[in-house]
Amino acid sequence: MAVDRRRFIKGSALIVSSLALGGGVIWLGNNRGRFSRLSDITGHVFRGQAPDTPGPFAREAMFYEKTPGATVVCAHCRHACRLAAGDMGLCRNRANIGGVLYSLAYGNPCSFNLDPVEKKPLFHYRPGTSAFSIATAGCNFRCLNCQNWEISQKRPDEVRHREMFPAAVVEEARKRGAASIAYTYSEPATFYEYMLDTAALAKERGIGGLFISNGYLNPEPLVGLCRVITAANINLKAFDETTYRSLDGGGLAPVLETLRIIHREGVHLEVTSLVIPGYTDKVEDLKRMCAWILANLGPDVPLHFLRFFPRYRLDRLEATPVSTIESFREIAMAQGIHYAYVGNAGITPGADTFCHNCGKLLIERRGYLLPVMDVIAGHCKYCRAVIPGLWG
Amino acid sequence: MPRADEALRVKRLLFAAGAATVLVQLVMVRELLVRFSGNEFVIAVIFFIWLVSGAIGAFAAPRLGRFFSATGERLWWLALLLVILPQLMVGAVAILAPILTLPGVSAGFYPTLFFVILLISPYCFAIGVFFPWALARYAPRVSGRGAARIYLADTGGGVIASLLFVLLLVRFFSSFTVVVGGGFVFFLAALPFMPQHRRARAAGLFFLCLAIAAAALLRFFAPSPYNGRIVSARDSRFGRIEVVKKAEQSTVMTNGRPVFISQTPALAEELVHYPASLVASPRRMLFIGAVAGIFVEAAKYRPRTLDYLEIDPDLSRVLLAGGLVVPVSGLRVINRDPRLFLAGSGDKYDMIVIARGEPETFGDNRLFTREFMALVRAHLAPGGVFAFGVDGFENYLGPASRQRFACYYATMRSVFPEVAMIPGRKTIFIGSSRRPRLDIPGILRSRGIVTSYLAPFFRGEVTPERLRYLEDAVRVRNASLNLDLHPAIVRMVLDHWFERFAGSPFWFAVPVCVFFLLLLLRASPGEYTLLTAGFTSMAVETVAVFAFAVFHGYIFEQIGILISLALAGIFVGLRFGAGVRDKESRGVILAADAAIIVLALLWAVSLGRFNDGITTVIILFMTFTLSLASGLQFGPAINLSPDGPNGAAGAFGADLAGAGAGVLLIALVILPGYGLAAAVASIAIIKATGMVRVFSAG
Repeated sequence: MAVDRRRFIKGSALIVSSLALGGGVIWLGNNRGRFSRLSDITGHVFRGQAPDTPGPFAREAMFYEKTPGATVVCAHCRHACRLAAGDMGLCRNRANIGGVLYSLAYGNPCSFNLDPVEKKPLFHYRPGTSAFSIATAGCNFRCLNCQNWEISQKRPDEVRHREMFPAAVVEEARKRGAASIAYTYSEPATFYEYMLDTAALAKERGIGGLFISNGYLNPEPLVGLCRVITAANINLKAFDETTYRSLDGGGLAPVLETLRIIHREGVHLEVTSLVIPGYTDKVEDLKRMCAWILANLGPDVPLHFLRFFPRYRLDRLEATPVSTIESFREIAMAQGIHYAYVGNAGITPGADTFCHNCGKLLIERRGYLLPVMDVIAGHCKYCRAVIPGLWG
Repeated sequence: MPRADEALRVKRLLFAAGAATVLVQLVMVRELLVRFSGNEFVIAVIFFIWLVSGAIGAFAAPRLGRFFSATGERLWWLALLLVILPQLMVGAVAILAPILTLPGVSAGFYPTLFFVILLISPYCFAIGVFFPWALARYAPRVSGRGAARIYLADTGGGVIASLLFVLLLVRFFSSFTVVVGGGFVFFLAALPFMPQHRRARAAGLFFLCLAIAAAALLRFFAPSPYNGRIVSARDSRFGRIEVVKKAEQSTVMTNGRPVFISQTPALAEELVHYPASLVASPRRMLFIGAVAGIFVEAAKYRPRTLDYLEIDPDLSRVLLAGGLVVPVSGLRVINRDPRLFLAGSGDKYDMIVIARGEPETFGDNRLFTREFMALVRAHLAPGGVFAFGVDGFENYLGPASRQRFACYYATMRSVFPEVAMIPGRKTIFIGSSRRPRLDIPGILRSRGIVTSYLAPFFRGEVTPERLRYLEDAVRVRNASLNLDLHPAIVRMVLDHWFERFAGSPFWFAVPVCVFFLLLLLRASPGEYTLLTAGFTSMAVETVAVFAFAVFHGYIFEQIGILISLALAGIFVGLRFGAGVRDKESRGVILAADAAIIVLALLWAVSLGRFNDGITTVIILFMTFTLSLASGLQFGPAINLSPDGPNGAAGAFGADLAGAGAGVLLIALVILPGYGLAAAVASIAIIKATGMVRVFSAG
């Protein structure tokens, strides 16, 4: 059969389109999640949602910049929200009311509990003590796996709260015999003024301050905070910018700077990394993270690997296999981190503390119970090596 | 003019179309639920989009007919399109969902809605166009008789296909095979309309083969929605069950959500030891559902009876065969509906535990109602306890969660003198007759029960602040009770789902309301009748399935038969209606309206007044007769419609749109918000407006 020009073009077009379809399908298959990963879930300022007048729990924000007109730029966290009068910040906690930036969460915690300090997790900070833990509504991240989304993704006026100004918080902590007050559950950077005043008062009374945060605070407020807190656990949620943007709505570089500052300021620091299958379980990222920690913070900063469970919007995914976080711990220690732990994995030796010098078991952790405690005045009971942390 | 055998061919084509479209619908609902949420809202929205897109297609058919007259050849091309599109849809759903959403992330309502519209509305639109075009081929002059017969053929195909799917196809064939098979039958029925031109035939066949190949290719290369490796996948009557393996951990996914994670001893310990510690000697145990390690924990009490009730036999088979549930000595696996099992059993238990998720659908809700709890209590030995776990309390309860917790608490409190709530992985609700002691680690220690999670972590999870918080949170004045006939929890679970995605159905409701308002204002009396008839038939199906499940358990075959009974009622009604002459039409419509109103009111009044046997007869009778009365109106209503294709197309469209409204209103608003009686009564109200409209039209 003779092939004329028209038939040739038709046939060629058919072959090319079939190949294109096949190739396209293969490409799409290999680029799973590519389009959605491009999305940045950081969120936005809430236009016109500020209250008309500052309420009883509003305080003028400590760090912000007034610009011509009634617009202000919040300087508390890295988002640097530019707020016109009547706008509310991305964290749902700071509002421009008549050209003045207010924190709307001062003295109105929506959650408070007495938790073991190990729950924060802080393993090298006064083990076996309790922390009076408080939170207000609001967060500057949008983590898809947030376990406290019912407070973190709400405005202070949307949640049921109790009136508890700094003096009352300190008194409640004292009554309960808490060694520390933890600013936790949601993001404490968003209730900075409340945290700062409470921590300062608590410090005067000999009660510690624990900053449990995503680490997205600006350097200036952070340095101020470091003067009144005693320990911090910063959640290093990923070790690449793309995952930070698409999973949490934040960024990596500012968090790393936060870690450097806290370490530099001499505040006891521990780092948490949630290992999420398919997102933050890449060994290359882990090795880069360990290398960064060793280079910038040293080997003595405890590093916690937490097991992920399906939560909030990330609820169609498997949990992290226990062997994965155990292997993460081993890799981190092989890289040179002295104290790496596993969490959310039940009873496991991965949660125990072994002396980095002699390798002996120093603290056995069975959940929140400590059947073995062989750190004596900050030293290994066996080889007398200094064990980093606050033990008194 | 088409010949007599042409009419027969059209009827065959419509029968095949009815069968194929029902198969596509059943498969696509399943596929979409696997990729998105499987709650009552999403299910209703899928059906709504399906029906309304069909209605829009039917309304558009005459306008398209101005450009393309409904020749036999064009009917073939349209049929071919209806065969090709489902192949692509089944392929596309597998590949698009993981690309458009991040792995493991649930889509909220609006992304789900967008995806559903993108995927199914072109197909449904084409179905909507197909029926008026087929009718035009069937009879040159549109009559109620002709339209009813066309509808009859389509309904008949649908009845057969739905029964086949439920009883046979779902067990033995994949979604892809079912759609290809249904398409093949449809294609065969369309062969008599195949164009004479060789090149056109070749092109048609080429496109068909290309679509099947493309669908197979899409499914083959579709990325797994999970991070691990899928080691087994099967479709059960209740949904898709997949086992995903990653390292040493196995996760069982049902409809895309993890329901069983092999390395979670914590939840098993909470579900077993919290209730067991409140019983003096827990030797007879019944578990409804299972979590990892639950029977190993239960075996620590050396139970005399250890029963595992699992409604889905495929799920228990997967769990046992894969070694995910350790078959401890004495474990008895029972695959029955829990309510039916308990109703027919004289056994007493020391503890009965629900070890499965919260109710997202009406079917699941039946295990959390006051009536079920009363049934459970009747099967508890003196001092026995009943427990289940609820998600959603870490440190605070938001408004939707608080309402939900309060409803669970109030419902349980209406049956049990004492109710305890213990926070942890889940919040464990425990109903008992005695005030529980909460020094659980001490009780376990005294009994020599060793736990790996519960005792060491108890101090940090069950704090006085958390216990007090929960107690305060559930003390809501006038908290709703979750009842069989008023499934309040389903609405609260949906509220919580919307809150999780920071959304509200408002922006969905606005265009829907505008659409129906315009439809109501523009509808002719005949169209209005069919709008309400469509509403009635869909409402009857929804209510009947719900009521049947409430009273008689979630029995898949029976529900399939119930829907078939409704379709059979429509079928009989259509046959009678096809014989109604033009001048009798108005009278028949009004009489049918009156009958529906009376029957619906009688049904509403009868609810809860009779025993189960009589209630069954009432449900079956009402399903059949109300459907019959709706079907009866179809032919006469078309007779009342303006003559010509516009009238028939408008009638088809009105019927579909009414059905869509029925799904939304009944399943999402009236049933969960106001209960079964209100849902049945709403049929009477809607029909009364139809009666007024026809009557006032003179």
